[in-house]
Amino acid sequence: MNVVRREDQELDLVPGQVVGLIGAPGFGLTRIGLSMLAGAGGWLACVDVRGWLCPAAAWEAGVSAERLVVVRCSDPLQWPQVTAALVEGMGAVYAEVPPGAAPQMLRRLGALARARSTSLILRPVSGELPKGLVFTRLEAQEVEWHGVGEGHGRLRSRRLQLLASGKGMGGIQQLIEVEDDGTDAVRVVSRMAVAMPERAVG
Amino acid sequence: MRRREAEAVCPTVVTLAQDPGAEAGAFEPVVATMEQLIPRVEIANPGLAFLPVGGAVRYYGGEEALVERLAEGIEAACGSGALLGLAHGPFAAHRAAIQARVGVPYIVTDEAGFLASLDIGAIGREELADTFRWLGITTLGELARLPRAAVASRFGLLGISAHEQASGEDRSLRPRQIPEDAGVEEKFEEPLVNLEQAGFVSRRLAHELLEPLQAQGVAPHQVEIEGEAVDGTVLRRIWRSADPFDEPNLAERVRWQLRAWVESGGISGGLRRLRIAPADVSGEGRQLGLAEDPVNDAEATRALIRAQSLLGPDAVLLARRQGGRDPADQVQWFRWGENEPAPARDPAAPWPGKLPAPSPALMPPQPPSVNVEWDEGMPARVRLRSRWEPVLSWAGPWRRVGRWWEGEGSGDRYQIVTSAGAFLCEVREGKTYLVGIYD
Repeated sequence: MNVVRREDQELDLVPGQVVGLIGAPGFGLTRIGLSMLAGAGGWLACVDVRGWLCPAAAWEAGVSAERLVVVRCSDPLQWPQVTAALVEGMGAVYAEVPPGAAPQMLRRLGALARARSTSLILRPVSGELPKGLVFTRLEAQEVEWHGVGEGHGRLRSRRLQLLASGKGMGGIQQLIEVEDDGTDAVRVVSRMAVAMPERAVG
Repeated sequence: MRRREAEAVCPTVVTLAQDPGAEAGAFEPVVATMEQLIPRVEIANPGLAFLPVGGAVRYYGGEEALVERLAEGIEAACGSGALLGLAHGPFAAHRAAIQARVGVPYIVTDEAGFLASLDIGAIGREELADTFRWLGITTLGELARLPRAAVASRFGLLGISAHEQASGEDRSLRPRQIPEDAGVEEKFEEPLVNLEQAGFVSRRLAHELLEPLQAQGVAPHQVEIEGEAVDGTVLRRIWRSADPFDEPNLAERVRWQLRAWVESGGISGGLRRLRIAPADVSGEGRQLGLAEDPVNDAEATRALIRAQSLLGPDAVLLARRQGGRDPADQVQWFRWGENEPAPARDPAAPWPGKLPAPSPALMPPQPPSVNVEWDEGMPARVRLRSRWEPVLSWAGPWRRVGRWWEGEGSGDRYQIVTSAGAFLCEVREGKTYLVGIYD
């Protein structure tokens, strides 16, 4: 595996581009998505499929309560229409994708986001996103929590490893380590370009 | 009097929240009675209505005769208690009604003299009145004697409107030409019978009405609400507001009016058609804030209205911080489009036993149970997604005492860290529940 160090950058949203967050609940991607949302302008919307999202976490990640609208949509049939409506009007949208969402419908949403210059973060509740849809794909690899021991302490900070790929990363797979303590923005600690062995280079 | 003082004076007192919808409903028979005598009633608030009496005075043969008939009519329909005042302008008439006594209407004959005798506080703007008092102006008469240009240069628009009121020239709204057919209408194939639907429709109509007007820089002070019942009865009402209507305000008035009609049985079989039209439009417009972007806001509003019409009002939510121990308790939800409620619990107060930050990002409303293997009172393994994950580290137990006086049990909370993430679990009566995911 070739490892090249690159300069540190923040994880930022690009207007009109789609970010995909892949990983099971627990790997810390909700908070990554919310803190990315905090950097966007205008009204912000979260499409909450299960009704689980806790805005307290969004506020801690820096999203202002005045700008955040949570839309609860448990019906997978209505989800595309609702998300499309939000993409048309909001500054940025964080949307959980219900299981079994049709790939062509997700592609249409991506096209709409590009046309409207809305940042769209897609977080599948389970499974994957279709290929070629996302501008930046962040896949959770590992999460490590600090602050607790054998029954003492409390959760204080975490460090997670994300495998980033897509056009947003310049076509290079990168291993990004981010750190946050839950009360401020996510810091990128290190960033490595990774040439995966199975990937043809050139 | 503040609520706490009231409770100290009378411990058995019951405090109720204000319910403008119910007030509008109770006021409806009064308005209906007045309307039988004089058409085109203007309702300012539930409980305060203005009647243009120019033509009616001649028809009924004099002011006294008219007021007497009105008082009799109202008393016959809804009992005594009405205060009636009659003057040239609505401001003077309102002041006259305040000075009237039950059964003794106050008819102002010398309007300038009546207004001149009023205390400066009558202009209704406390701060401005205080400034006038400080300057030695204690009655409206003294204010009216000042040159209007001088008042305008010192107090601006507020001063002008106060001066106009004091001089009896307050038929205030400088009406502009109403744009062609600014009214909006909605017909219902299936008649509206449900108040919730009505509230929903009213918000959409208010948006449709105000958006084009906003673009022209005008805002209505008066709107006419017209409803048609299935049996063909057409009901019409004018609502009036001291400040130009904005969307939530207007939607609220429409909802009150519909509720009033429904509760008084005015709409039989449901509503077939609803129309709102500006009855006059003032150029005072709404000044935008510096950071406000009308285009973005309008787009966001449209998007949220669309989402709301797809999912219903309970699905589009805003949240504010309030006090509480759990992150879920610290969030006060309210529907988008409604007024922000006052926090039920003080967010600044100390909350001992509060869950420390960072908060779990995902909190299932009904915590599912989760299998945890315990080893001498310490968590050893957790079953997640059909796999047993060893517990790497954990914190707790933190005792959570519920409201035992309401039959709520207590539980022990643990923060459990595995290689698949950190979780907040609660042990209640021997079972473990997944309360939150630190995602």
